[in-house]
Amino acid sequence: MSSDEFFEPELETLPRPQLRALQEERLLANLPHIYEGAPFVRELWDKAGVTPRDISSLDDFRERAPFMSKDDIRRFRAERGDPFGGLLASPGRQTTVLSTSGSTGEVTLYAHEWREVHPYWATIARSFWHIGVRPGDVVLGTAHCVRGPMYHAERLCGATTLHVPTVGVGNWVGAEEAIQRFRPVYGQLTGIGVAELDRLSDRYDMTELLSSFKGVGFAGEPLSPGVRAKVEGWGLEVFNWTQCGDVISAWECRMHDGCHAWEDHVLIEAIDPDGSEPVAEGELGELVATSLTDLVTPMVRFRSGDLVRMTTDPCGCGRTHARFSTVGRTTDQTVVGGRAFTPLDISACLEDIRETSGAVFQIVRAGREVERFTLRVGYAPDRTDSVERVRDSVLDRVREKVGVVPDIEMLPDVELLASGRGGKLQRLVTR
Amino acid sequence: MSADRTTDMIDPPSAAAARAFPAPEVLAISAYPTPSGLGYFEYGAQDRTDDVAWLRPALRRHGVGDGNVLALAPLQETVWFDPVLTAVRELGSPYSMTDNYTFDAFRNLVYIRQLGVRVMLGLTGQVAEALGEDLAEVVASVPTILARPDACEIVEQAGGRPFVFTPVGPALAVECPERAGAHVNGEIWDVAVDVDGEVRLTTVGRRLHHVSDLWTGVAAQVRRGECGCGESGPRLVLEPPRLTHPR
Repeated sequence: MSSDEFFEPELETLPRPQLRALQEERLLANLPHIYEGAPFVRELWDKAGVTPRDISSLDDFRERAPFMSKDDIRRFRAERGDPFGGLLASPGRQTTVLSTSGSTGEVTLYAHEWREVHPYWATIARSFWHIGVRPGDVVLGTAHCVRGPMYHAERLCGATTLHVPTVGVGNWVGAEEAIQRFRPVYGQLTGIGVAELDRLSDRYDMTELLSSFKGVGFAGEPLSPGVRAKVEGWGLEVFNWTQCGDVISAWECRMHDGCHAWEDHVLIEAIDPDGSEPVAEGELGELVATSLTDLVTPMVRFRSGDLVRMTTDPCGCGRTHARFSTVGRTTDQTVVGGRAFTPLDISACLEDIRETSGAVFQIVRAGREVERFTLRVGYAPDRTDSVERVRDSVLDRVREKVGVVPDIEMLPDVELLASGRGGKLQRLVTR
Repeated sequence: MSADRTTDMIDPPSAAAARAFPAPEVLAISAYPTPSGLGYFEYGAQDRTDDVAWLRPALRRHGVGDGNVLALAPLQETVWFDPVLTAVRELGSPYSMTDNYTFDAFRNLVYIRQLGVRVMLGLTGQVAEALGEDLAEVVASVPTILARPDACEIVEQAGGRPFVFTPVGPALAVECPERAGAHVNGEIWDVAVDVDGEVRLTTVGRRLHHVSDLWTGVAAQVRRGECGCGESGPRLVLEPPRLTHPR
């Protein structure tokens, strides 16, 4: 039964020894089915000389179970013509087959079995409840179905979803009238959405317009301190959320000190990005995820490519599930003349300049380590009197703060935003 | 705990937690176009139940239940698509979803090529155009396509024979295999055509939101009488296709 604080108090605050016991129970129950049903898992484990009979504890699993990566799955798919990359462990049990957005190129299929509530969105009800969504509230509906029916989350909380036809992916264009009329308590933003709201701020008192909101979610790319500060400046509490290794989502709580992974649904590890050993808590590691409740296309020791710092330290919100902060992707870094930087570093530079404060940009490069690269920068035409002056400001800021000198292409932000997919602007472009 | 836990995990514990308090009577607030802007309306749990019951046989006639379904189901149109997808689930077809954005057109091809699709629901003109030459492959691969009016001519030019599938104000019209017009649920709605040839919608059954003589932006003729498919509600024979929900 839900409490005032927690949607599922028993599970959300399960003491860690019991949480670990629950994880072990689910993992050991699932592994035989997954090994028998998913051809890629069986092949991978056979190659490693491991079977489920060799795993009798979480420790055994961490010691012996092989890792899998997105490239492994794609390779299996390409070689065998298996659309699920060999991960379909329960053929015929799919209710939905959805996919990743493909914003970085390839699409990965995943399937779930469910009857009334899609499991991905079911656990998000925990976070919505925490943010303050309650029966009778209105939630501003999101507009990208790539992960399925987000409205299941608010429905579970007893709330009503407001669908505004002009609202796009992570942006709230045209939603002003609906917001003023129906007073939603939650909405979803991406980087593109914040850029759109930034433009609205020229015409509206944003604090007044958004005064009904108890919080907003932000996902799709790393949340820079500048973007968070901008949104908070409008009176909104921002809850960053992310994928947990393509298994389930993970959300910030009110403490805003990392995203809670729902460890009753996923077993997470932080592993040396260049090796296979776990890193100490708080150290930089690659997020590895194993599904505990999905028997249709389960991930097993999936190396996500996300660089994280993880902790199981007690959280001020009362939940006992581990938290992690995503620093970036293993492929996010660009190295120019020996100096490494990430898109977040560039974002911080652009947010300081009024004409580019929406941080609409792309890094165009030939590879990870280059001698030169191009920075494609979107400027707000209605705020810009001299494109050349803005260009010079960008160059100075990037040289000063990041220590690199890019070639710069300036174009109106709406033009650059139009090239985005899935509510995200691809930050790294290979040319 | 048994190894086969799939049954245990249908509808996770979070769903059970939600049953501790009443489900919202108003599931959604959505909008249809009117001459003076957007007309917002409430959509209720009973509305959804009634819509699912009507859609199940309508979709079954098109082969839903016999294979994979691909629905171009924008979340902004949840009130129209949620009952459709619920009916699809109840009929036993696995389904995938894509969006009405040109950037998402390619994912339709991914599902069609990798999974095989028996029925495609809700193809829009925007996505049909974005598919370009690949639309011919879609038409050749997918046995049944239910398309928005603005997509029908494009699909026909690519060699297809789509059925009409379109929101009409707060209602939904679905053409049956008899190809005698797109049905609306006669238990809930009645339709008439005004002097300009535009369809006007009136609520005649149980509904949270009632309309009377509502302008819908759809140009059509109305047919009445029992259809060969067994449905007896009014049917809309659309005039040259137009976009019913401009974005």
